[in-house]
Amino acid sequence: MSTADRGAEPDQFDYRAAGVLGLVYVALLVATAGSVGYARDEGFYAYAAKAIEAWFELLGRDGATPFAQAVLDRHFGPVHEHPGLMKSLMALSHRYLYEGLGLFSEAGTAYRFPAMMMGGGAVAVLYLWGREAAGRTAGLVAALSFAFMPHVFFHAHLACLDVPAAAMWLVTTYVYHRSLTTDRVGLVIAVGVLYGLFLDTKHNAWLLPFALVAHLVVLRFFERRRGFRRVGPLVPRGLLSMLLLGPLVFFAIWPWIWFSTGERLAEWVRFHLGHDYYNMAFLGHTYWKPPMPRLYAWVMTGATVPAITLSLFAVGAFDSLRAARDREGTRRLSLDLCWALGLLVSYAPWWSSETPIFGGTKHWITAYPFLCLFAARGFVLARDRIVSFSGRWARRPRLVTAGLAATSLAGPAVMALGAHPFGLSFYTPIVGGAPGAASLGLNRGFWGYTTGSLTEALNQRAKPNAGVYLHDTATASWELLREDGRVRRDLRGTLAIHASTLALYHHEEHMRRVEYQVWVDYGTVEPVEMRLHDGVPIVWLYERR
Amino acid sequence: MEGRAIEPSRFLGSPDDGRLAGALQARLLWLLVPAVGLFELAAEAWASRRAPTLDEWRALRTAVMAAKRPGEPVVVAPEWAEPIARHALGGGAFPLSELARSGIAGFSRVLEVSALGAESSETRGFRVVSERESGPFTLRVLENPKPAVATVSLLEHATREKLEVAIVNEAGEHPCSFTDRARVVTGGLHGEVTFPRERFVCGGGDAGFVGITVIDDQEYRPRRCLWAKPPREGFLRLRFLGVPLGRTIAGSAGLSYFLFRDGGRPPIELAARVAGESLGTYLHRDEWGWHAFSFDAGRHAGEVADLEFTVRSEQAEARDFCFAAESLR
Repeated sequence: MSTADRGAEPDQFDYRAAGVLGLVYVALLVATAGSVGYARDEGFYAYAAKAIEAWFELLGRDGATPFAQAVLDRHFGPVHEHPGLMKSLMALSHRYLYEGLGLFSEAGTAYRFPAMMMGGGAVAVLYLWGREAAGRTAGLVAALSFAFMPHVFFHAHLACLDVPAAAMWLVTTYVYHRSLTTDRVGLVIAVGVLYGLFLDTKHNAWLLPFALVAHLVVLRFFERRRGFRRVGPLVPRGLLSMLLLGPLVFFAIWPWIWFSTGERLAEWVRFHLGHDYYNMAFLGHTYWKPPMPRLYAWVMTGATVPAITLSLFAVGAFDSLRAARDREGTRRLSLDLCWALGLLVSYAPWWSSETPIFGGTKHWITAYPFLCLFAARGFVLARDRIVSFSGRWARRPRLVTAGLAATSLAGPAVMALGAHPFGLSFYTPIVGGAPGAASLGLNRGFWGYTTGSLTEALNQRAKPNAGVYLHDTATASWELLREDGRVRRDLRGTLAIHASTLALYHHEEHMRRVEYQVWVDYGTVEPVEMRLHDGVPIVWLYERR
Repeated sequence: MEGRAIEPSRFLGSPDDGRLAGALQARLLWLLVPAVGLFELAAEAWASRRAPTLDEWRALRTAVMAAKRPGEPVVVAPEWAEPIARHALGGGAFPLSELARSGIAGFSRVLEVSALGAESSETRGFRVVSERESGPFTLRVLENPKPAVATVSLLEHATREKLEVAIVNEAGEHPCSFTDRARVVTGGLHGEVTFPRERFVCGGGDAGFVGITVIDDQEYRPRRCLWAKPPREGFLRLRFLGVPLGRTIAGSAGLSYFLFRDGGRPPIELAARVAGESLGTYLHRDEWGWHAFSFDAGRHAGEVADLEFTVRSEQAEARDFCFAAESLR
């Protein structure tokens, strides 16, 4: 087996390969974004980004005025339940890449671009970490298994915070782990800065210290018990950097907390710890209040992550357990622990039946990069075992490697691209695909983004200045569609069915009452347009008689 | 490289060496990994194409409309495919009174459109009268072994000519006037159900009326019913004129489940009378969803008489009561 197929420190080739992988992924996301309608939260974030963009315009013009509390509150107040990093990047992307350079044909893509870059960054880092741990092909398997998880592929398109949160968790952990065995001050500082940026991305960041402290405690325990040499200082500098530098960076780039800091931080924490329960269908029942089903996260992972990725993960996890038992040394143990705790801590909130489940798989999306890194380990173990099976194969290890990589990645790629643009409606063949999931009573989608698939029909059917009932599409998301020219600018979005002549319906079990309202008001039960995913109805349109 | 390469030909013919054969079998298991990948790829191709396409649904239209008889609802299995059927087969196959039915018991026959080999749970126990394949579908005519035969549906009786509505309180009796030109109001996801154009207007805000609308039950299915919100003071009285009475007045009642599933509000009382004689009282709780009730009318069976319902509650706010009833033989 060549050295490229063994874990090793990434070299220049690897850094270039990682960059190419990340950029190609971003290019794919940009190229396919036009068919994904705008999700509810995207509309809100774009609204917030517009306010921040207006603040950027004040900079350098009005002296210190932009830094007055009233001005900051006006521009950073919208959607302040989430911190400022992604909204600010969206604002900058819109201002410079769309309006300045004209890089995108749609304003919406400009808002989405920073999150896409985060997704690309995650893909690149997965390659590097997988390469470091298990070889180049393993790195590729880790990167593409993540990139083509169908739900990840969907979320990676959105101007939202979930894929960025997954990317920031991964990158911060990666740099932290590298910093454990080095004296390089730059890396130590980078850990703190990255954690600050992660805090400024989404509140998933609150969980990371638990994972890293647990990692440290368990690692030190095994070092002492097995008499291994300790990795780095007793308390890693990276951890101290996170705890000291992280909050500073977090504070510095979220202007909304520059005033009334304690009060506003408390409000932020309270909002997320006491979040409302929204509806979510699971196995034929709509949950809207606790107790939530404890199996939700596990069943949904099994039903939406390709079986081949889960199989490789299982093999990789098994290999890591074996390595831990065989005392292969602290380096391997430290790495595997880091991944395992990243994964388990990401899932941990859903071990409680009090935790809301309304966001589906995106809730624990931060676990998926680590799942893919274990899959990379599983890939290597399976490859080695298959190669050693026969002399003929042992003489052609590259062929076996390529073949196994192809069988590991073809399915996920086909599934992710096949589910586009209805990614949230995707289910694996284990549950019978989308039809099987519909029969099982699993959620078919949320966020009202599927309006994007009916824009042509709306444009054709609507009379001039017609009112369109938007149902679950946020008004701000509808405005993005208009701004992009995907729907005619004369069409009026409304949340009152009786004020409309066309009515959208995005199916969710608890929302069926909206359709009944349309039936009675419009005098028809017959949708005039419908979009299916693999034969399952996702979104439809009514026209007033 | 971990382990050495093993040439199968070296030991396949050596039955004595059980350990080596075991090792070979164990190593063969590793081929399961690429096999999972290939199998899943093939399974995805199957899963993504197994449900009928829109064109196949549209091609079914002629066969369904030929088999559909008035008063015999079309039931689609699996249930999630029913919106596709409405779109592809047309609204004519799904009159609202059949689609948002109070229950299936009142129908003597139904036409089941089955895809993916599914069968409707609602018609379990029905007898198959005929069955034929049509493309990827199966069309079955099913017969209800024990249909609840109605002498009259009170929803169909709720017309200007056959229904009188009034609010009765200490100040007297206040008739609710009928209009077929009321302003239609819809509440959207978190708001009230549709307030229809045709209704008896009782005052006290938009919701103060009696008229036919559709609510969602505890499974979020549609139920067509008569909106009858109790008034702030006194009670709401609905007098159905000249009702051919059977042995039982049977019905179901509810409030929009999505809005009222948390419960906790005062119950709503529905009482029935014929010729001044009480048939009984039903007390409805919000969290029940769409819930059945029945009153014994045996003493009046065969008579044609005025049937009176009264609706009241301790609290008038958010008591969005809706019911449907039939007089059964």
